[in-house]
Amino acid sequence: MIETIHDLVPAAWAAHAPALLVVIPMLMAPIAALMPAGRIGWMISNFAVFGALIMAIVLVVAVRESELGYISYHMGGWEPPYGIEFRIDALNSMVLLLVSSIGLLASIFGWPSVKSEINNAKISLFYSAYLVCFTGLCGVAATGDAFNLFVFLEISSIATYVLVALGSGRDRRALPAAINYVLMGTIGASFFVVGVGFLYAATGTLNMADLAARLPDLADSTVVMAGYAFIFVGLGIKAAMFPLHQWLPNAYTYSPSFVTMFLAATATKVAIYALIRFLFTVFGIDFTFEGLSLLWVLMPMGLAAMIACSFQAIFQTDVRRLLAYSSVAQVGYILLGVSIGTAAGVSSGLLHLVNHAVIKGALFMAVAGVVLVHGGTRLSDFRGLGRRAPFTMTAFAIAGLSLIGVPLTAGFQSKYALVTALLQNGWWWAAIIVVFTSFLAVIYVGRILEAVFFQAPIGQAATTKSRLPVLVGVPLWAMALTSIWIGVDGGFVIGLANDAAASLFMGDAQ
Amino acid sequence: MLEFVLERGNYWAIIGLMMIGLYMAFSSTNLIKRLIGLGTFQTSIILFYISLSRVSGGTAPILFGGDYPGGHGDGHGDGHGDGHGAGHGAAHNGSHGPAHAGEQDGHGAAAPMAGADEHAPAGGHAEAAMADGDYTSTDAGERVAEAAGADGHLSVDNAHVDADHAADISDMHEAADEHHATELHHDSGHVSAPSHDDPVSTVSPVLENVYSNPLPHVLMLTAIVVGVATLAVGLAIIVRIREAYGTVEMDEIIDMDLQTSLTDDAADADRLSTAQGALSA
Repeated sequence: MIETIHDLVPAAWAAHAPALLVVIPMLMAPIAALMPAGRIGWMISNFAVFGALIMAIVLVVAVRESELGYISYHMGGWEPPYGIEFRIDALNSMVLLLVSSIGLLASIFGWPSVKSEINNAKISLFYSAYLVCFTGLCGVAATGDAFNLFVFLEISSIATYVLVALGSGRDRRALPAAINYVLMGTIGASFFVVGVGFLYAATGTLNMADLAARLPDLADSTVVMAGYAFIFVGLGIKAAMFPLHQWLPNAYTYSPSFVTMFLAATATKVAIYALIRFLFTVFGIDFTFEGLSLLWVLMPMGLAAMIACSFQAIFQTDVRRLLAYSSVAQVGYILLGVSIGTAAGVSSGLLHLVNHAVIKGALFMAVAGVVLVHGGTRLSDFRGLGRRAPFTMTAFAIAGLSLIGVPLTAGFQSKYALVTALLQNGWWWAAIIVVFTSFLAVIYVGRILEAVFFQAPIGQAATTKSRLPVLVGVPLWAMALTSIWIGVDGGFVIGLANDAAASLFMGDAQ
Repeated sequence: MLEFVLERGNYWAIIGLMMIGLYMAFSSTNLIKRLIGLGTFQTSIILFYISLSRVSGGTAPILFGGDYPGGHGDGHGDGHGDGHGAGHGAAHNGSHGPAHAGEQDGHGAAAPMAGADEHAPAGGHAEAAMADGDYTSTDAGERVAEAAGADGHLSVDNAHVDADHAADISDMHEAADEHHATELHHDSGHVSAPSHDDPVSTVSPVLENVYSNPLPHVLMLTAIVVGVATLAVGLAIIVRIREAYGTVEMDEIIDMDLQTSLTDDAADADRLSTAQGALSA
C-alpha cells in the first residue's frame, strides 16, 4: 500500500520530501495563526500534517529503495559538512512515519476535544502552536546536523510549553507544570548544546556523519567524553530518562487532553530517537559500550524506571497521572532494549518505541474522550463507565491489555522481542524484571479496568449516556486496532524496527 | 599549575557563571529568579561558544583591508588555526590548499597582526597571489591535511570560514590575471557557494588578517533567539501563574496544589461513602 502512495507523488516533490516534510507544517503554522477562530485552523492543521505524512511514506519507500541505505538532502544545495544536511535512513524514516501518522490522528481527533477545553478565540493559535511543535519533532528526526537538531528540539519544546500551559483553562495546576517543564527542558537543551560545543571544539564539524567519521580517532579525548556526558544528560532530560523525568507526570496530567495524547505518543519518542542517534551513529557503538561502558548506566536506569515508576503508577488516583508514570516506566523498557547493544536488543527497543506510541496514544485518546463526554479523569470518575461508554472503554481496554503485554497485542510483540534479546545476551535477571514489571502493569491497568467495568458509578451522572463524537471514535479505534494488528501480524512494524536497527549497526561497520 | 589555571581564565569564568545560573534555577523559590538563573546559565553557554571561536590575535570575522577589495597577503603566518582550514579544504577537494604551506615558508615573515593600515597595497597582493598559484604540489597539500588532522584537540577550526574564502579567493585569482584590482571588489561576493569546480584554479585561502571563527558566532545568534523565546514564554507563564495563584513563590504554589489534591481526595472519599451508604440503605 505504501508503495502505491509513493508512486502517486510526483517525482519532483518526492525529491524534496525530506525538506517538504518539515517545511509544509512550518509554513502552515503562521497561516493557521492568522485564521479566524473556528474550523479553519483545524483544517489547515489536518492538511499540513497529512502532507507531512505523505512525505514520510515517500521517504520510507525511498530509503528502502536507495542503494546507500540513506537519503542525503542538502539544504539550499550547500554541500554537507558546510551546509545543513537532512539525512534520512531506516531509523529516521520509521520515526518520521510514526510521528506524522500519530500527528494526523491527533489532529483529526483534536477538533471536539480542543473545542471543549480551549477558549474558542484561541483555537487557531492553538493549532498554530501544535503545528510548530510538529515541525520541531519532524525536524529533530530528519536533520543530520547536530546544532540544527538543537534548534528543532527547542522549536518543538517552546511550542510544547505553550500547549501544556493552555491546560490552565481546566486546571490551574497546568501552569506550575508548564514552568517546571520550561526550566527542566531548557536546562536539558542547554546541556545538549554545551555537548555539541565540545564536539565542535574537538572536531571542527557539526555534521553528524562527519562527526561520526572523525570521532573514532579522538576516542581518548577528554573533550569528547565531556561532550558525550553533556549530550547524554541533556537528551535524557528531554526523553524523561528515569531520574530526570520529574517534569513529565505533572505536564501530562494537567495539559489539555489533546496535548497529553500527542506528547505521550511522540515527544519523548523523538528525544529517545535523538539519544539513540547520538549513542550509535555519532559516537559509535565501540565508544558508547566499550569505551565508556555505558551499558552500566543505561541498563540500571532502565530497570530502575521500570520498577520505581510502575510502583508509583499503582498508587495514583488520577488516570492520566497513572498513565504518565507508566510512560516513564515504558521509556525504561526502551532504554533497556537499547542498552543490550546488539541488533536484536536495539530492534526490540525500537519496536517498543513504536508500540508504546500507539498504545499510549490510544489510552490518552480514550481518556480525552472520557473528559469530553463525562468530565473528570480521576479513578472515581471512571467507575461504571463500561456501561455508559462501552465503545470508548472497549478501545481503552484493548490498549490497556496491550500495555500489559497480553498475547495478540502490540505490547506482547515488543516485550517478547525484548525478553528474547535479553535471554540471548544471558541477562536472565533482567528478563525476570521485565516479566515482574509486566505484572505491576497488570495491577495498575487492572485498577482502571476494575473501576470501569466492575464498579458501580457514583452519583447522578450515572443516568446520562452521551455519545462519543465520531471524530474521537474513529482515530481511537484506528489506534486500538493498529495495536491488535501489530500484535497479530507485526511483520510491517517489526520489519521497520529491524531495518532501523540494522542501519545503525551497518553505519558503525563502515 | 597556576599558569594552567590562568591560561584558561575564560573557561573558569564560564564554569563559574554556569554553576551560579544552575544553582539559581534550582534553589530559588521565586520563579522570576529561577528564570534569571536560567538566563545566566544560557549566557555562560554563549560565552563558551564565543571562547571556542577565538583565534589568538584574531579580529571580528568581517573581511577588511587587503582581504576585502581583492588581493591578499599571508596574514595567517602565525600558524594558529589556519592549518585546519587548509587541511579541511584538502580533504574535500584533492588539491585544495597546496599553496598555503609553501607560502608560510616564502612569505611567513610578512604576517601582520590585525590592523587595517598595516598591509601593503592591493596591487602587490594580487601579484603575490599569482605567484602563489605556482605552488601546486599536492605533497604540500597533503602535509597540511595531515597536520590538521593530527591536531584536533580543543583548537579552533577555521574550516568552514576558510572554505568559503577559498571560493572567494579563487574568483579573485581568475580575475587577478587582468590586473584590475579595483574591479575585484565586485567579483568577490562575501558569500559564495563552497563548490570546488576546478581543482587547478583553486588556491588555498590566504588572508591578510587573522579572523576569529565566525561559525560559533552564527550558532550563538540562533541560540540567543532560542533563549529569548524561552524566556518570553517562561515570563508569560509566570504572569498567568500570578493571576491564577496570586504569588510567584514556588513553595507557596506547591502548598496550594497540595491542598487542592487533598480536597479532591476528600471529596472522592465523601462521594464513595455516600454512594456506599445509598447502596446499603
